[in-house]
Amino acid sequence: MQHVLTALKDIPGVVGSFVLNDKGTLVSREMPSIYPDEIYPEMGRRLVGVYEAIALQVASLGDLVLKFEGSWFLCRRTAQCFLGILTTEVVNFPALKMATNVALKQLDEQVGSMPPLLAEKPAVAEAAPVVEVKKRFWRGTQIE
Amino acid sequence: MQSAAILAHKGFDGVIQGATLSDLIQMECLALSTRAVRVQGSGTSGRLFFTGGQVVHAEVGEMKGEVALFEMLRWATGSFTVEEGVRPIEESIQRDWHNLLLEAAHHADEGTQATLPGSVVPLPPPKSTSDIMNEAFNDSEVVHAAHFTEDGTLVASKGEDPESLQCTFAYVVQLLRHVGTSLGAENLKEINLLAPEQKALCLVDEKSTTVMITTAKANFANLTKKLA
Repeated sequence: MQHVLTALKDIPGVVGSFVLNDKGTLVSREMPSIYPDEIYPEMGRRLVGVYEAIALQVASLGDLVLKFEGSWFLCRRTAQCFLGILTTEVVNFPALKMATNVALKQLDEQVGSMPPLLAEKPAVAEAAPVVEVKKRFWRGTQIE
Repeated sequence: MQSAAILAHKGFDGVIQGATLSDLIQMECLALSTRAVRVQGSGTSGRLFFTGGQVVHAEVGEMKGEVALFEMLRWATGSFTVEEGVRPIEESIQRDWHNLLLEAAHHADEGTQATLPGSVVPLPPPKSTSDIMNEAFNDSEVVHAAHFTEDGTLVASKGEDPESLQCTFAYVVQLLRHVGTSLGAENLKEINLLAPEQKALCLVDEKSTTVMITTAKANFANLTKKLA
């Protein structure tokens, strides 16, 4: 999966990219090291929230392009995953779109079977029922 | 326009018939003149001041600047007298003379103001925010639209249930600003949402948000231009 994201950097202007699963959990990234892992859970939650809000108002959203001062962020969604790409303001958008078409095709086949990259907090295990160990005796003496 | 020129020591003296005030201005400017010209119209008069080949001041009665200049350029007949060595007390005109004459010619062609006494510079009134919004919202590809301020006031809208549209995008913009912050990207300006059958364009600034839900055929560049 990593090589799919690395290939996106062939497009000039691509800063980095990452993949979230359908729940917004990070499964792969090819981002500069200045972006710590801590940003992805919150970002994933918010992106899922955006897609859900839009689906209520408009329609099932496919692509999302955010234009910031100096940088753009493209988020593309499939049934299996979100692909996020951070770019500079100057990027060949049609070329990037085609590159992400190819990437999404490959990612979709892999994401379903991928474990989350960041360890999710394990759910608190249910306390096992206390099994009362019956004491066993033989002729008045306790045995194991 | 009949003209009588009282010229200085050098050059020709004479009367030019059929010349317009525009002709005179061109002549003075091309000659890089520094002097004043008194213009006598029908029942009123004004003065034009040239410095180094530019029109720097004009006055007609209480009017000054471009207003006075355009007023004089509207006069159909009159005469003018050159006043050598006269300089303006103030410089009320900054624009290049070419632009001034072009604008005068443009207004003369339109003829819209020619019959309105006293109104001289027919500058179009500035478009209000609602005019701009209406122009964009009336685009045939725009299905629903809303323009609302950061404090939640709905200013303009199109289509059914604009409040719902406002709620959704007020929330979406907040979430996406946070996404930008996580990525080190500030100042969210525009959001494009692309779905198979519909699209949405959302323009954001510090004070307001404009969102337009469009058909899939809409041209976002054109819509953005209309709102610029």
